[in-house]
Amino acid sequence: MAFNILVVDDSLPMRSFIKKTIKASGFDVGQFFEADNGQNALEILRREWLDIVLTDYNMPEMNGLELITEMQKEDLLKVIPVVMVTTEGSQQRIEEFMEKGAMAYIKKPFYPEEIRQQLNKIMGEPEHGDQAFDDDDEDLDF
Amino acid sequence: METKPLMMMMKTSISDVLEIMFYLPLEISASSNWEETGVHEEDVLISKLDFKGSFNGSSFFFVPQMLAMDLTASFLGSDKSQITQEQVLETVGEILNMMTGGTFSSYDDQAVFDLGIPEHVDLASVRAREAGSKNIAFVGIDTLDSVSAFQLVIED
Repeated sequence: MAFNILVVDDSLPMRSFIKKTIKASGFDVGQFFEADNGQNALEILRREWLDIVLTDYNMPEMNGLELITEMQKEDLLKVIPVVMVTTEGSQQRIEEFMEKGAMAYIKKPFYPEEIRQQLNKIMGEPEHGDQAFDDDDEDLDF
Repeated sequence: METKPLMMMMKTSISDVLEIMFYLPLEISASSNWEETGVHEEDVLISKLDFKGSFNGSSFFFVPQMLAMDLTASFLGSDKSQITQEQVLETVGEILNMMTGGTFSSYDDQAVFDLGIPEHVDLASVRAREAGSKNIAFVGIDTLDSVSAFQLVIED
């Protein structure tokens, strides 16, 4: 199964680097989407079908934490896994990311392997995926 | 403020960023300020990042244009002929962002620092920021055929 991935970072080179890393890792990517801040990411999330979001924290207009907070307010968006990819290293802020709904945290600088491991852990573990689906499919009428 | 412990963390952070993400072998140089490196002002790009937290100030990354081009090409996986100046400036800013964040989290992982957005500045702006501050931590970086530097200016 190919996954659609949204990369959110105000640095264009960093977005390119993350995309290049994911492609090189062999992760099955359907389509990449990009946003340079949380606000633009939300617009893409409301318009497109996304499977996972990788976001920076420190961005103009809307930061990564505010993006997660906004996603949690919308039923269709709050189930999308979010990975924080950031230079932030304070324990307090990392705890805040996880409490607000981030599923994983990768500190910049990172080895390419870390991205692959986190994506496989989140998208590749069947028991986790099944659980997430079971929790949310009761209200869906296919 | 004692800048020595901070400089140790700066050196670690420089190695982490340039070696992990840019595969750049390096050594810490003996230079104690940018003038000592001998790089002409017109050849250097400088990125600046303001920070606020347990202490406030600005961080700077000095890098010669040619090395900045090499780093950008390596980061993007592109040929140097296809690199734009905007990409170079953004990459230099991102390097500074990672070095600064890494330094602070190693120095004190319980402290929260708010980092600004990197901006391109000239040497006169660096000197203006340094004026009056007694707490300046400068770390020169020797690479294969170039020199760069990471500096923190902390408000008194």
